[in-house]
Formats: sequence, structure tokens, C-alpha cells
Amino acid sequence: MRVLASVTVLALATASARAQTGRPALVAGMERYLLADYQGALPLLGRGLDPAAGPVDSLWLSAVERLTDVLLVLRQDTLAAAWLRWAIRLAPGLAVDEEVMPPIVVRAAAAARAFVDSTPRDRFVARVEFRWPAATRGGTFGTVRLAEADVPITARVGADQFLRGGEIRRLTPGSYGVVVSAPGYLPTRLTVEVLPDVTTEVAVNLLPETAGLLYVAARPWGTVWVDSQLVGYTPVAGHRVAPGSHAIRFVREGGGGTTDTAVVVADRQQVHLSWTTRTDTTGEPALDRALALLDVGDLERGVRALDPVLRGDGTSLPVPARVRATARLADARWALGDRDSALAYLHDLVRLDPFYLPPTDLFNPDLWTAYAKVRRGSPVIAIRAPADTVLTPVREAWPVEIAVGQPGEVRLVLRLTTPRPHDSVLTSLFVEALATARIILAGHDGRALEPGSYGLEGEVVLSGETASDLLQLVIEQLPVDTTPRPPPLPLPSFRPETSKGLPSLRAIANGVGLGLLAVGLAAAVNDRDLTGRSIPLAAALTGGAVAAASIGFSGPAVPIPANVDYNHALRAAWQERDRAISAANALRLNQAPLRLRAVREP
Amino acid sequence: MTAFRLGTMLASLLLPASQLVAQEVVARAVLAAPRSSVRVGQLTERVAGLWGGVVVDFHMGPVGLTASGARGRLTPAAQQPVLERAAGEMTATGRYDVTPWLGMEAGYAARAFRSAAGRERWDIVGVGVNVAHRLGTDGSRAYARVSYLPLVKVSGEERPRFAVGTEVGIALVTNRSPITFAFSYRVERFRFEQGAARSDQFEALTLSMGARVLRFNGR
Repeated sequence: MRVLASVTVLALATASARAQTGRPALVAGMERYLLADYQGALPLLGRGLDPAAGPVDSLWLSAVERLTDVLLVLRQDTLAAAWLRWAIRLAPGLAVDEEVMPPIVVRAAAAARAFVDSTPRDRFVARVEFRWPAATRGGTFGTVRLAEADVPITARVGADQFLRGGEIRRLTPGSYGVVVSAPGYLPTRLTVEVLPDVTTEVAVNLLPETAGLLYVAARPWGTVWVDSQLVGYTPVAGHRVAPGSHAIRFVREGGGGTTDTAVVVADRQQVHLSWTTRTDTTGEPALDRALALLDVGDLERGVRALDPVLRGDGTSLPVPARVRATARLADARWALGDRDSALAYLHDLVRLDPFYLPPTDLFNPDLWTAYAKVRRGSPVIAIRAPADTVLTPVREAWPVEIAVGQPGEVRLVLRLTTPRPHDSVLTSLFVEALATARIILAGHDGRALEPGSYGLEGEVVLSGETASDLLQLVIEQLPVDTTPRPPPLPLPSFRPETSKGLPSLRAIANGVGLGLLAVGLAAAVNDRDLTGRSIPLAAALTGGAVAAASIGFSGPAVPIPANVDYNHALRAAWQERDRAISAANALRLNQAPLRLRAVREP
Repeated sequence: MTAFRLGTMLASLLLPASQLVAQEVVARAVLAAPRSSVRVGQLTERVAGLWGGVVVDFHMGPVGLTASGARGRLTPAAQQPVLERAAGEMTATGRYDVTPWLGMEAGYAARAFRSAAGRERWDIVGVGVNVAHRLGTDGSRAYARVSYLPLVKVSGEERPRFAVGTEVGIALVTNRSPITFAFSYRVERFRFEQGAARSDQFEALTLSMGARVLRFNGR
């Protein structure tokens, strides 16, 4: 009985699943996915992704991620890639949630994006639409249909499938290269995705072989319409237009006004339009000539002139000139569709000068997004400080500017290199892109840094790698007036602290003994016969003096309290004065202005 | 050469240790009453007088150097048929204090007499010991010096066979001023070969006064 009930419920659920379309199917597919019922989720998600059934919102994007995961689990990698490519063409901003989805889905999405970026579609010539079937068939094939046109067109799909206007072809799901051509018209190439049970309809409006090319340059950048059809942001390069008259509309960014003009394009004519109000000059003639070409919209010649200068002896050019020229070259390459080259120049731009931020009127939003992405992926750091600064240590901070590509924790170490190396100041801060660190030039003990040669090293630690920059500087202490210390008190200013008392008998005996020894020693050497005396008078005098001095000095020292106190007060006053002056001098020296000179930036 | 090398080595051992110790320079004016007694055969002549001069002492830790110079006139005692003479002396002495109360010293002295009869020069090299007894205040002391004079050369005469000298005296230093005083008595006795039949004694009672400058740890 229970088995019968279960089979009935499952059968009903399956029937219900087949019947759902649009948003309900999307929701049901997500629920099946969460229950790990991948076989059940697959058809529901496929049906629910019909863009005609609902908005391309977060639910829709989540469904794409889940569908990809399901297909990868079921080992249908090619089909997963086709769905992802289709979804990315439909929603270029699609980003897989790396915290939720498995890495294999993230990698598949990255590969799909790379494929889509390398197979752009000329939306002015070709239009692709996808039609979901009204009822689910559960098939494993998709359909390609070439819409009819005013001229007899033919299309080659993939390697060996040929269609004429109005024909259809059933194909296995995947990405196909399509070439549509007609006699007397320029062929167009595009890549389309074929999805299971979905009809991919390709409609083209081929341009005649005599079509001209439109180039538009503008600064500040703007948006260009041709015959009321949006072309895109400036610069516009090589936009094909049929011979004849065309209405051009240019809308400057930031509400800067709208300009309408009309151009008549002759057969195969190149038309250059320029709304440049601000030009770049670097002072380097070769660079300035190339930049002038870009300013007038001659992008191809401008790139051809600029590229060899930067690739050749560009390293000898001043860094600001190189930076400006590299930014312009990236802008032009991006407009010409050389996305990889443009990204390489953006990398160069970040490495050349991490402090450089492209002017807001130069990079259009697409290029700015690409630049921001490149910058955040570049592990570079640069530090800079005023070349010559005078500041008061402890009170004033020394501003050090920091620029990083990839955001991260930046450590700044001010290291004394001469006269003896040791680390002095360590500052750590998180830097998103640009920041200013204010370093107090004092040690942990509050004392000002000692003069000498220093190296300021900025280091940003990123996952797996480290980038650093070094700034060498010299710190000098500027002279400051200090108060001279008081001279030592002269000896006569002190009073005798003791007086001699009466000597003891023993001291007298010692003194007399010393005197007798002196006399005896002299008498021992004396030649009595020669001098006529046993003891020379001088010897007796000297012996007496020795005895007297010995007795006189041997008396006990009797302190004179009044004089001791007087001398103590005298010394205390002097020491107090000396300490006060020393403290004042130390304070002045600690606050003496420091001069900081950046002597070399390697 | 060996002695020179030994001396150089000893000096090099002593100097580094004394670089940071206190240094003292004393300069004094000297007033002395010299007396010279000479007996040749049965004749004895005695001359005495006054001379003045300067003495400079330099001390650095245990090492001391002294240089002095003095000159004056010596006149005979009454009723002696001896010529009056001019006299002068220059000395240079080096000392090393083994302990605060015992020092070793070596010195050289050149003494000359000039009279109407001619000149006589004495070159004296001596070594000796110096014993000091402190007298209550810093630097004041009573001292006695005994010297053996192994090398004595007298111009125009043979070298003495034996020569000794002694000096006793006091040196006073006041605590509250840089003034120093010294009072001493010095005797040198020279005995010549028997054949020369000569014996000499030189004495000097000396009073000196001067000033000292002390330097501690480079200040």
C-alpha cells in the first residue's frame, strides 16, 4: 500500500514538473537542486531560464549557477559551457558567487567569459533571439533558424551546415560559428549558442561592400548614436555605416550637452568626428604628434605612431609622459577592439605609476571598469613623500602617500641606515587604493628621531606574494638655541666645612718621627768632613717642616655645621638650576625642527 | 736596541690604560739655596748662594714627568780664597707610581758652574725610589727620595766612583685653591777614585710655589 502511494506521489510530482514553465519552473528547479535531485532539477531550470518569461534578476542568475552545477555533476560539461556562454552574452555582468558555488563552477564561468569576450558580436548587423518551446519535449537537440532578409542570404553554421534565409537546422547543443553572406554585401561572422529544445534565430542586416567607416573621438567622453541607434561610448573606431546620409547624436558625459549632426558617407569613405575640448601634451614631440592623431579620431594611425615610441625607447621618456601616453594608448586599443592589448597597457599603467588615476573625462565607463579590475589585480605599491620638508617632530606628522594596486595591509618601516642600522618606526594600515599615512617622527619613548640616513620601506603583503617600494631620505636636525649650562661653582665660593682640632699625642709622635726620619736620611748621605756639620742646618729645617706639617694636618676634622649647610644649599641651588636648564634644553632639542629630504627613489 | 724595544713595549702597555685617567699639570716658581762643597786633597772649598727657576710637573695616572731649570750665583764663605761663580741646573725626571705611596723614578740632570777660572759641567743620570706619606688633605704629602747615580760625568775630571742622592720634603696643596707649595732639601754626594783625592757634595734647600690644573675624564 505504502509503495503504491509513493509511486503515485512521484508520478504526480513528475507530471507537475513537466507542466511548469517560466518562473514557477525556476523556483521548482531551485528546490529540486537543494534536495540534490539533479535529474529533476535539470529540465525545470532549463525551462525556467526563458528570458521572455521573467526579468534577468538575482533568481535568474542563481538559476544559471545551479544549472551549470547540475550539468557538471552529470558530466555534461559541453552543455554546461553552452548555457554559461549564452547567459553571459545575455547578462554580461553575471558573476558566480564564489562563496556558495563549487570551484568547478567558478572555473567554468571564467572559461565561458573568456570565450564570450573573444567572440564579440556586431549587434548592428546581426541580431540573435532565443525562443523557448511552448511545451516541454525533453529533447537533446536545439534548432538554428536563419531569418529571411531583403537579399538572398546564406549562412554557414559550424563546419558543414548551410542554410538559406528562412531555413532551420537541428543541431546538438553548443557554440557555433556562423558566417552570413550575400553577393555584393559584406559578410558578417558571429558565434551563437544552441540550447536544448530552444530555437536560436539569427537575423542579419548586411552592409553593402561599399560601406564607410565612422570614427568618433571626444574628450570628455560621451555616447554616440547613429540614426537613433546606440553605438556606444567614445572613442568609436571603425563603425561601419552604409553610404548615404546619417544622423549622428553625441551626448557628452555628465549632462554636458547633446550635439546633433549629419554626415554624408561616400562609398568606402572613412569619416572622423571629434568633440575633443581638452588635448594632451607631454613635451615629447613624437608622443604629442601621436596624441594629436588620437584627438582627431584617427585612432589607427595614432596607435601605429604611439606604440613604437612606448615599446622602443619609451623607458627613456619621463614617467609622467609615459603614463599619459600609455593611458591614451589603452583607450584607443580598447576602442579598436584589441582588448588583450588594451588590458596589457592598463597593466603597464598601474605598474608605471600606481598613483596615477586616469582623468574622469578620458576613460569611458567600460574602460574604467576594466582599469579598476586590472588595478585591483596588480600586486604593486608605491610610496612618496614631499621632497624637502621641515616639521616639528612629535607635534607634526610627516605625510607619506601610499598607492597600491591590489588592496591590502601595508606596512611602513622607517629604517635608520646610517650611522647604525635599526628599525625606527612601524606603521601598518589597510589601503584600498590610495592613502596617506601620517608618521610621527618619534620613537616609542617620545624622543624625536635622531638625524641620519633612513630608508622608508612600504610593503604590501598579498596572498602568496609581496610587493614593496623604497624611499631613501636624510633627516637633519635644524639648529636650535639652547641655554648654556651654568659654570661650576668656583671653589672660593664654598666655605670650609671642617676645622682642624688639636692633634693627639700619637699624631704628634708620628709627626716627630717623620721629621727625624727626614733629618736622618739627609744626615746619612751628608759628608760631615766635607760640610763641616753632622746635620746640615737645611736638613734640620726640612725635618722640622715635615714634622710640623704632619702634626698640623693630623688634627681631627671638626665639622662646621653652618658651613656644611651653606655649602649644601649652594650646591643644591646650582644643581636645581642646572637640572632646569638641562630639562629645558632637552625639550627644545626634542622639538627642534627636522628637515627631511628624499634623496633617492630607486 | 733591546732596551729601546723593551721601553717602547712598556710605554705602549702603560699609555692606553692612562688615556681616561685624570691629568694634572703643576707649574711652580722655585727659589733655592744651593751649596756646593768640594774637597781636593786637603783643601776644602764651600760655595753657597741663591738661585731661581721653574719646575713643571705633569701627571697622568701613575705616570709623571718633571722638568726644571734654575740658575743663580754661588759665593764663597767668608775668608775663603775661592772664586765666585755662576751656576745653573736643568733636570728631567720620569716617574711611575707603583702604589700611591711608592714610586720608581729615573732622571737626568745637567749642572754647570762658571767662574773666572773656567767652566765645569756635571751630567748626572740617576734611578731611585720615592716614598710618600699623605698629610691629611688631597695631594699634600711628605716625601723622601733616595737615588743611586750610576752615570756621572764631570768635565775635565774622572768619573766619580760612587754617587748617591737623597731628597726629603713636603708638598702642600690646598683644597679650595689651585695654589701649591713645596719645601725640600736635597743632598748629592760624589766620591771619586782614591787617586783623585776628591770628594763633592751638592745640597739645595728649595722653596717653591705654583699652581696646578686638573683634568678629569677629558673635562
